Amino acid sequence: MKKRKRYLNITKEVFAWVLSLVILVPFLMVLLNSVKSVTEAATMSLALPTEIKFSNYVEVLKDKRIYTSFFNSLFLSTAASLITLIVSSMAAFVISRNRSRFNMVIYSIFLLGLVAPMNYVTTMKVMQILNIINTYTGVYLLYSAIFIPFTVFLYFGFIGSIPKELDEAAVIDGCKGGGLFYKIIFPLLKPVTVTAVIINFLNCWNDFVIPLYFLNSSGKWGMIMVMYNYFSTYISSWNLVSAAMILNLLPIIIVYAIGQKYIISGMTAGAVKG
Amino acid sequence: MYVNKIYSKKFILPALIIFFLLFLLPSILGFYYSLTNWNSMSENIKFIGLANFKEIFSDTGNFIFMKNTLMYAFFTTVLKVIIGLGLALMLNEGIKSKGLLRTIYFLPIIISNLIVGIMFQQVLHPANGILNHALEFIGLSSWTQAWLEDPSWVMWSTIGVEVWKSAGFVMIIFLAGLQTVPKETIEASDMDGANYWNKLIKIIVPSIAPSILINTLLSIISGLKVFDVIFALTNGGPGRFSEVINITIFNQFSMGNYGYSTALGVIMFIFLAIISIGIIMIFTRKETNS
Repeated sequence: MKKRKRYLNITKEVFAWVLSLVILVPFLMVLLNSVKSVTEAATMSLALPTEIKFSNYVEVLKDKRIYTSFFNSLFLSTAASLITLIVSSMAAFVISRNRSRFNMVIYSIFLLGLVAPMNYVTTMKVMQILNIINTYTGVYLLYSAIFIPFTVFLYFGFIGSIPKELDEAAVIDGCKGGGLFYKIIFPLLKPVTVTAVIINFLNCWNDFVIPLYFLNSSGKWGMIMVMYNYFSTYISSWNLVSAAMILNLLPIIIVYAIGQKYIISGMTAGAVKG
Repeated sequence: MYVNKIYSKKFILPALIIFFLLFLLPSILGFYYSLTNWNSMSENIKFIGLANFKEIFSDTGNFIFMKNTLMYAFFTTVLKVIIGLGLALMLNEGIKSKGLLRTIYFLPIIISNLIVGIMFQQVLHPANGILNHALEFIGLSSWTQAWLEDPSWVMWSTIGVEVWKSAGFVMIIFLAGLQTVPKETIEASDMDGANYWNKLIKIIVPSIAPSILINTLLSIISGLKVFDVIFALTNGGPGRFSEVINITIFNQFSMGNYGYSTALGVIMFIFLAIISIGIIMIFTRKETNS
């Protein structure tokens, strides 16, 4: 009986690894073709390159747009995730601690944002009225508006697990409103803060729908958008497109490797705790 | 009074203002603009009642995107839940390299949909794509298809790519849910000689009902809202055979038919709002219980 179980587990493990190839092979395909010559990469096959050409990467890195777009991505993702984090944690703190009927209505309004679709066309109108269309400010505020519901939701669940007696003790010691939050509560929220920052940062970095609708000037585009452009310009040079894709994947995979624990816990908490 | 002083409502304001101005207000304005002829050609916006909606529903050419959107939402949900549950049951116990496998299965969800789309354009290429090559290799040449060019296959291909991308996410939620399955009950049923199928149907599935519900709802919502995967993969083509509502909205927006595009957005909003009210009721009911 025991032996049979062990045999079964080994079969299961082998099967799981074979299955993981379904995920890994497409990435391997891009990686292989990123070091091939133009003619070899034309078919995007899994054949090994006859000669490893790192010159594809050099070629891609010669394009100055890569650097500006990298810093655009970095700036937009950082600004959007920081603003989201600050405003959402404050809002979630008050809503979670004072669950009055009014506050719960506000919370429901935030939750609506998790499900309701964005109306891009009228968003454009509002951004025109606010005079932030086609600007960095407009774009990172828009990202914040999109991320706030999920982030408030994430913080709300976590703050509920921090004892309220802590607040009372702090108030007796003379801490009030802002001081109470920033000095006492906010440091305790570190795990969920890291999670929120990583998830929002990645979502912002990966997005190309917002620039597609709202950023006409290519000088303000992030890496993903520039790669899209690159893809249509170099449609016949798949070796270069592949190299550009790998360069785009690198920052994302590095963040995933470092923050994996936080990403998974945040995404599941967001889904399960509710 | 005391509570309101410590937990000042001012703290909610910044988040609420940003969210209201750039998310809620546009949705509300959408209801008005969907009743106008707003477009990029003329300066003055005229009220035209329900004309946009009449046009949307009377144009039989539009049935394709409605059918595609529903088909996409339905089949991605069913497949993601079944495959995600299968993966979770497989990885739940008995596997040594569980952590690493979990990391790999989850990987696609954090990759930009644009990269996924461009990558799968190549994987599914009729002549050079590695999928057709693999099918030929294992002797299933007759199964090869022009995955993205054949009108009868293209929606299934987009559904397949979404399942590839998100089954790992569904799996992770199920893995969390599986930790709540009572071990004692499983052991007791083992004593009674219950087979795996019986255990699955009678013990495991009932105790992970909440995660099944959450996964189903999340998949339906993201399925109805899909844009970027299909945009990058086929851009709605060939013709309009893989067009979904969000692609139509974008195309109408690009053509400058703002009123019409907004009307489509309103239809989507109402559709999803009905679903979201259901979800919020589930969420808040749990919250008051605890």
